[in-house]
Amino acid sequence: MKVKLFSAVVLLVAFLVALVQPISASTWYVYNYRTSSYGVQADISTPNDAPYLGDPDGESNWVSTLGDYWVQTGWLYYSGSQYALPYVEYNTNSDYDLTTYGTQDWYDFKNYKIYYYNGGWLVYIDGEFEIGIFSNSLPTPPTTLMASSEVHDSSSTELYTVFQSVKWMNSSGTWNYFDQNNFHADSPYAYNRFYDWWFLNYGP
Amino acid sequence: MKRIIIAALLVVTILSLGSAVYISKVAYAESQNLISEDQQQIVDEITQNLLQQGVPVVSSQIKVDSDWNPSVLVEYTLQSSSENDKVSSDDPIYSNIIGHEVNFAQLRGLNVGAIGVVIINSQAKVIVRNIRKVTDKEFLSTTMKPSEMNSDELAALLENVPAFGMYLDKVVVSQIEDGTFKSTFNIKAADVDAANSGMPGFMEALRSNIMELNRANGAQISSYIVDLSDAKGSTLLKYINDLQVGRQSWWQSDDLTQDWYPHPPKL
Repeated sequence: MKVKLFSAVVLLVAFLVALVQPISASTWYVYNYRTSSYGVQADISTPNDAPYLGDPDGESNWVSTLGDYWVQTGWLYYSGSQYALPYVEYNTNSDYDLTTYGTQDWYDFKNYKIYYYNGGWLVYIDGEFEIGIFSNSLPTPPTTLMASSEVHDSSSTELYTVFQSVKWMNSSGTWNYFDQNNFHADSPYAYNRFYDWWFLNYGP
Repeated sequence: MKRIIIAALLVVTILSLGSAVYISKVAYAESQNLISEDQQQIVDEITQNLLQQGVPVVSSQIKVDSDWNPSVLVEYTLQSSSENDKVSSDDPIYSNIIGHEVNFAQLRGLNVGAIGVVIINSQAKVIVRNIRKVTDKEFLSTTMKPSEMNSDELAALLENVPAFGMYLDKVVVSQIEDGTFKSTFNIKAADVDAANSGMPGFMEALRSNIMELNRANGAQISSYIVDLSDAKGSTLLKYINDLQVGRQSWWQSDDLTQDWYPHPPKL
């Protein structure tokens, strides 16, 4: 009798836990980040060929500020698109914006950079200024900045992205290689860490 | 002899200073000349176009800024209906339209390097300011091929986009001056849970369908708007995708899912 009661309680607890936990993640991340930074940049690769995409949606590989409001830049790829698309995205005070800038070939690197300057965050792709965003909702440095891969909706989507020369900017405006090991990967994705500033994100 | 040297030095100094002042005056004048009456007139025309489209522009200015090539920035100030620090649901759409109008004004002779948008709330407080490089005008000129379809057949095709458990209330298709189409999708969801369940799939399906219609059917849909609300009429999403410029802008309610666009994780 006691065993049955105990089993019932265990089942009930398991059921309640299942109710409050998300059934499955619909976004998967593989990243490293650095705290106390004024800017972040990385050379981000595309795979040799267009990656397989689960259905629906796609993937993005980027550097970004964090928080409820953010600025990020990188490349994205989704079904129906022939190429990876370099982009800048931000959300400031619920003003969301995503602009794409041409294409990034397969098996190619582009440099993506964000840094804080004169009260705003400036975004560059391959050394070319694209957007400057000024809003008190965005984080003020020193702050945590991230280099990440992101997959939406289907964990069968193929990921194979190299982040190299990942750097953070200090308060003097000097760029330094990432020097903190804050790696994280949502299974089934993983990373190969060569250095804190050079890693391969892959999976599933 | 000493006096002669001092006098000579004095003359050289005065001449140098004079030259410097002259050169800076010429540079200033040249910079001012960049903003000709023609340029100002185009900016005024853009303002008129924006106001006619219902975009609440309260001021515009075109100014020299050496950070840009060409070294001219055109900046618009947008009056938001917001009473706090968050933008109102229409503001991102307005901001997108400003960018579109300025970019395409390059094809009418506007010569600027960057577009600025300032959004102020009802207390005239600046809540967002952004500056963006203009889109290459050669590229823009390739995006203006007239459609090979008529609005009725296009609307019929667009009405077939799966609604993913939501309800496609209305599709409006309208042809604009350059022969391309704008379309607006009014979507209803029972509640925010239904929207969260259906919206990522719907947005993806809509984008894919429109890209395919443009590619395979020559539909030339240049932009589309999605207006999503719940059964009580509360706005959940207002979204615009300007396919010619490659820019998506939107407002969404705080409880609507973010799983349909790149965003950083919560640490």
